[in-house]
Amino acid sequence: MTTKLSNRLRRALGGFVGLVALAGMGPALPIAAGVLTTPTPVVAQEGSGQDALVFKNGRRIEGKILDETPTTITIQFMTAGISGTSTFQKSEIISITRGTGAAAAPETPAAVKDPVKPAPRTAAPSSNDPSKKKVYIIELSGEFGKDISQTPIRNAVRDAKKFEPDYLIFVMDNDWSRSGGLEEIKDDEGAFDQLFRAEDIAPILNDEIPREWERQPTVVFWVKKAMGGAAFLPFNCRNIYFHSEGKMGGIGGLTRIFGNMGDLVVREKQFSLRLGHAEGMAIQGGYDPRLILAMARDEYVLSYRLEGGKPVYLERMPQSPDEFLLTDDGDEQGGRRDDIVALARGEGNDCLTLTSKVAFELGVSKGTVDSMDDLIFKLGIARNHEIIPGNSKRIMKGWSDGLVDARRKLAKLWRDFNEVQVAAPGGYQQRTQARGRQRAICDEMQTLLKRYEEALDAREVPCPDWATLNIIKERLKTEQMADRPDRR
Amino acid sequence: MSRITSTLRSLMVAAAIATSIVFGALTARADTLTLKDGRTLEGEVARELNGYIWFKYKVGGLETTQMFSPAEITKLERTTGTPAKTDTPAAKPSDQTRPSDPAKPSTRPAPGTSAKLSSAPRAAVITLGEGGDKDMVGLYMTADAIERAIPLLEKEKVEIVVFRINSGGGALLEIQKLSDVIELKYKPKFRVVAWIESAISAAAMTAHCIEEIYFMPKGNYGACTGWSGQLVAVKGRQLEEVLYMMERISARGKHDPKIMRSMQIMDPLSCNIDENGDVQWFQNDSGTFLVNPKDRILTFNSETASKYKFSRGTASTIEELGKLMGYTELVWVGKEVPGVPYPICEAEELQRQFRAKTYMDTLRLREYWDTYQTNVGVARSVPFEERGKFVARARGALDNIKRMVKNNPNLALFQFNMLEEQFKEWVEEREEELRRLTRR
Repeated sequence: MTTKLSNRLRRALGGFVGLVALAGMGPALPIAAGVLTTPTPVVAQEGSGQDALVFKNGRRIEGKILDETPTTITIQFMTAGISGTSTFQKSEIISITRGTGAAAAPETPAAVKDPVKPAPRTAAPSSNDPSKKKVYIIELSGEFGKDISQTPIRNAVRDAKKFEPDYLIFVMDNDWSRSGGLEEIKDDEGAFDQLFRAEDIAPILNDEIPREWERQPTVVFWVKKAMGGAAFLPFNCRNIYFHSEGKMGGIGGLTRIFGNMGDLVVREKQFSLRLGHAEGMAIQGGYDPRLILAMARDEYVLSYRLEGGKPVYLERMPQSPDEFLLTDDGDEQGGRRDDIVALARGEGNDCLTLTSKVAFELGVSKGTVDSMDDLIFKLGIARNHEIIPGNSKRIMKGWSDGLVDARRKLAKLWRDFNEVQVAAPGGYQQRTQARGRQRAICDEMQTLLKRYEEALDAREVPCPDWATLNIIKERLKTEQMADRPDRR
Repeated sequence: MSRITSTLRSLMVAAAIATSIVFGALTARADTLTLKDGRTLEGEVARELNGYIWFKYKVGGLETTQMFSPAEITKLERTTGTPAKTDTPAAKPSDQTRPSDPAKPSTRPAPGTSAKLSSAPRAAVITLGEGGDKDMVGLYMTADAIERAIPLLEKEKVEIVVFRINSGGGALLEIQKLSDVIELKYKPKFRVVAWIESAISAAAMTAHCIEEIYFMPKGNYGACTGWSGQLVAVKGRQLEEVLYMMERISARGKHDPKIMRSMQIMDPLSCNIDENGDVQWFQNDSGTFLVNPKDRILTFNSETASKYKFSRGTASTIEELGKLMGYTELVWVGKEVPGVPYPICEAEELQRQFRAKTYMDTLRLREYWDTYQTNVGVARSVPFEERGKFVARARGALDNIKRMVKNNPNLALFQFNMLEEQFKEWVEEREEELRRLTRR
């Protein structure tokens, strides 16, 4: 499948953006390999010049100590290409080694075990030690529905399958901004309808892995940012962990998406069917579907209390000190509408946004971790794992780059189409050639449109759609038939 | 005279014998079916399958055949002791509600092995809609397409049809037709089951004539409000007609009509569940369980559907579904296809091809029509000797349009806004137009 993707990229981008095309060509290219593969994780290295903490359980972490109090120590380190910062209780630590600091910067390749030698890019597992738990990481970053889309995820999962990992970890950190990152979208701005993009992706987790993998991996979602449609995806998975600053939401204000259009009963139908779809995802992952309602509908009231460490949900306001409010009805006249102070702080409760604390209390999150190393630790495989240096980063990046290039190239191709001139002397042969050129451009545009159709927004595609291009091609055929050689 | 008398007498005796044979036969088939709802039906067991009984009896002088599940039957008394056609090792009435052995998995013959050798019941999955672009009721889910599947199911000796539904709804006008095909043509021949991935609006209304409904974990079912244009609701008499249609379809599926009503309009719905698990529904909020608050439209998810006994269970796979249906062994008819979680039988292959063709045709219809018009236009403008090739291209485009409507007759309405007869006339006019172009 990787090869297929590479071929697709090569066909689409051949000669246009050589670098990207090369980067997509696979194992034969050591330059691409060095740049794009996932680095091996940080492990204990004597004399590396970094600070090192050794824990009572035998775990060792290297990096740069950022802060220290009488009881805690905060260290920045890097694992699996991901920089993390964690604070530990000194009571858990048996020794602290201060390095020279020279090589401690986790952002530098020095943090990688062997920065010169790239991780192998073959399909074979990187280690033959059968006792080690294999971990494959897929980072989901960028815009949900575009960069985070079913084709690259499917390809990354297929790449993972070749290594038969024990753990398949999705790091969800979607871009929740607009204007190219200039403006962060607020928690209370909902994008519920991205649900349907999540539904395109979810079958990979729910159907394809269970059906196509002989050895089932433990699928884990690590939520850094899962906002908008991205919030639905982790719900398909039974193992969710949060980053301490992680949040999952951005699907609120469902009842406002149609404004006052049409009749209320039809708007309610629309809300109901959407909730039916979204609740199904929560149920699939083993979560209470009422959480979806709380995340989506402003007027829905949900509280909870803990019984035996498990939440008992109550569809009303709290009535005793051991009951906690998740979302109120947002009634403006009752003074319960979120005010600007609460909204500015991301503390509104008209719609639920799951934070690491709330998610953990509700049992949605199994733990809060700020680094891949911590996540590995929480999974109980800290001393017995290896990170698979798979191709997921290259696959995800290749898709994102290809998508950007496709938009640019479609615009250029459409300009080229309109600028095709009949060469001098303008005879039958030149007219035929011009039509042939136009048809070839149409074919090229159709290829790109098909390849990226799942992620291309029709409004931003700078050329006619696939069907219209077919009409244009048919007209060119008719024109060609109606034309005839010039008489001498 | 005597000879005549003698002949008459002989004829009368023969007639009497014939009559007694006929009556004898009727008497022999007068089975009695006692149902849990208190009814006792006199008639004939037309067919049996794993405790399911197709019972032929008369209502108001009209003969009807209805399927009853084991859960609905208290007892069956056969007066003759001659069982009707039994498709599987006969299940005793007293055994009919006994659950299957949960430890024994359903069987799915390995690829390449002959399913025909197994004596287990034969089941097939037929998809109604496949989500995405191919899910609209009336366009991708049509009465015509599923009716065409019946001979193929019979050819493959299928006994149980599982309609796996994944559709976001569609045309109101197709619901009754789909319901009629399922009720009148499928149910007398097969045990019919709905397996819900997503049945929204017209898709739920289609599935509603089926008694046995199972969900997938992510399944949803409901949101059946009729509307058009800018979210404008169906109102007035048309709404009353749709509500009435769904009352009748609810009766076919033996679902309380209040459930569907709350899926169509913002009526509250609540229920009580007694110690036997029987559910009593209320079109208000007076029941113990509030299923749908007022001012809302009901959509079931797999949990609520199961909790309120609307669904008979939740299954992720056909193996789980087989168990829920009470089978310890089941042959799923069809070919294993990579990426498809159930074998594809011939009838299912037909549905897939039908949808694929419909999809390509709807995508390319503008192209067909534009090609026709452009070439007719050019043919008119060129000398007679050169017309032929343009007329041929126009004819090719028209053939594509005809083939498209042959594959899916509803496209005449949805794409051309014409009834079948009008479409035929329209085609004839186009053909005449082309003929005129080829005449000097």
